[in-house]
Amino acid sequence: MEIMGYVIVFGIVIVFMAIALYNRATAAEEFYVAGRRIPAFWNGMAVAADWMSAASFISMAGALYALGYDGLAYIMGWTGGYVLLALLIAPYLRKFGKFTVPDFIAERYESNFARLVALITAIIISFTYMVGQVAGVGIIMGRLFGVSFEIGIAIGMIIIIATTVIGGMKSITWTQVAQYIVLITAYLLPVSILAVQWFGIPLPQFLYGQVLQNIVELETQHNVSPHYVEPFAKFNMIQFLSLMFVLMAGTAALPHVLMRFFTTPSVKDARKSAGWALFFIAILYLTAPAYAAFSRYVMLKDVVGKPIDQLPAWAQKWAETGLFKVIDKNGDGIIQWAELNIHRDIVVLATPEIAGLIALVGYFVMAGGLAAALSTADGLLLVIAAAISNDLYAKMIDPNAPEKKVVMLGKIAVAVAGVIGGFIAAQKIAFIVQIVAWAFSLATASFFPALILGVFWKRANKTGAVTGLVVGLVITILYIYLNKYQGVSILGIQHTASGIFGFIANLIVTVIVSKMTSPPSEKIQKLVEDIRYPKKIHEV
Amino acid sequence: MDKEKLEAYHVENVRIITILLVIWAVVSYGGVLIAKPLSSISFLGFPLHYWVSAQLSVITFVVEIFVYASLMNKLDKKYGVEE
Repeated sequence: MEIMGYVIVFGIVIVFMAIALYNRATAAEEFYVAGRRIPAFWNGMAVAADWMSAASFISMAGALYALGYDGLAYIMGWTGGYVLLALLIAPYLRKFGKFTVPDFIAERYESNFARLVALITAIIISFTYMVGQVAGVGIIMGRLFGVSFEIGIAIGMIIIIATTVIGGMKSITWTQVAQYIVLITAYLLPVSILAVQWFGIPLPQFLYGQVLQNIVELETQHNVSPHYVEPFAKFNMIQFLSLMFVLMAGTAALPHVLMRFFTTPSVKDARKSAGWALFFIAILYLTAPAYAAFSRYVMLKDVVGKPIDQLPAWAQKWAETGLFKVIDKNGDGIIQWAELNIHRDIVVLATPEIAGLIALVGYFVMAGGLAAALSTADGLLLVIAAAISNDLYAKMIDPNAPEKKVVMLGKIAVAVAGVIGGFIAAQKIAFIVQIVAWAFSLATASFFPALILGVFWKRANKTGAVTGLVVGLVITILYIYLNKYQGVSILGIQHTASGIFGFIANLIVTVIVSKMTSPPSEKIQKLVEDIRYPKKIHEV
Repeated sequence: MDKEKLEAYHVENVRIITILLVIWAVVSYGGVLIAKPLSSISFLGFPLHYWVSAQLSVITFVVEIFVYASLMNKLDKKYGVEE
């Protein structure tokens, strides 16, 4: 790799670390919620970096390339969830004003058992999701510096742990702001330049409609079926709608995203911050389908139908990495669509070369992927640390523990969870990747109903919520097992959308059991009223 | 504070949320339900069903959150419950 590549990546990482060092924290309010001083705009940017993972950055466009119209379930799911979050959850949790999502569930439902279920679910979801990010860092480091996957993970883990240990939420926040700027610039640059080359205007998001039409024409010419834009070619409509719902509800209820909304100065800022968060996220999510369309078009135009010994230069280069494979199955020397085997990641990673840009841009894109992985891993690690130090230790084991001790324990939890995460990522366990795909279903079946009912239905009580949580999780896990390993399917719904069943079950069980048992205490009813108003109404 | 007034604030908030969520559901779920018939129409160079799901819905979501934030700021002031 060129010396300039090293300079770019090291330079960016040093900036991240310097920002973290400048924002050290020792107080609990600073460690968990950045002192509740983060303005709406900057919190929105940090949420965007927290949210957009290595997979969003590197693999999502590739998934769209493969899935066509059906892939848009992910685009709408992962953005539409913010509407639920902004209207139904975030402002109320901000008014509630503690540190974590399990905090809210435990106090609202007056139950430490509910806290335990919530914190274990939060740890499982966040930990597996984090392992995915760390693996992403290992792969990117390997591609950038030619180091092994394990060494890449070790370097990444040191950066992630350091950023989070130094100042918790406070250091993470400002690092995430810088990481967002790097990742969004790196994402937009190659595809915008390609748009200028093709159309003379750097707005790929609004110009790929014409490309979609060209794709359909070329696909007809090369007998590719079903067409790229044909709806429900990869999965049926019910699976599309269910998956979209699970992604939306899961997004609204994922603890690492919600926790960021505890950091704004007021309820008003929490509402506005959700708008900025989705604005910054939408920039990438509106661009990803353009990446996918451009790549699909280039493949159909420059690769398919051409002699196998006349691959374009960029394709030859990526063939060496194994991410781009052509096998001449019928031996006619001409490449057919079915003979192409393309790794998802190539759609984003190869675009700089397709556009004929200098190698430096390619390194910068990888640095963007690195920023996406690091920023998400930071946020997840903090959720795990908060669940262990705040929820498990300070609230359940030793309620009189001094604040300093709790924060110190949080920092130790960051280091320990980080190291374990690194080791597990290095094992390349395929099952971990699977659990990440189920994280949204688990959140939809557990946190989402508990939060919505907790905010909007005063009558929801401890017995109802706890039974609902457990039933929701059990049904979801059961359906995952039955669909994935036993081939059982209801209405064609796949295991990726299993949370829809757990969600319905949780909702029904919570309502029925709450109705059958006595209403929550006067204190809780007042709390539920109080969180409706930005101003303090009741003393609770 | 006057209990009726507080209740009225909550009712108005729930009404705003309901309206915005209906719009949210129409552009996303509604767009998917009629994707097949829309796919034969062309709009801004896009097949219409693709444009609705990939762009209209995402842009609507962003606008809706800012609209909600601004409507709630007004509502907070109207009922005097702002911080």
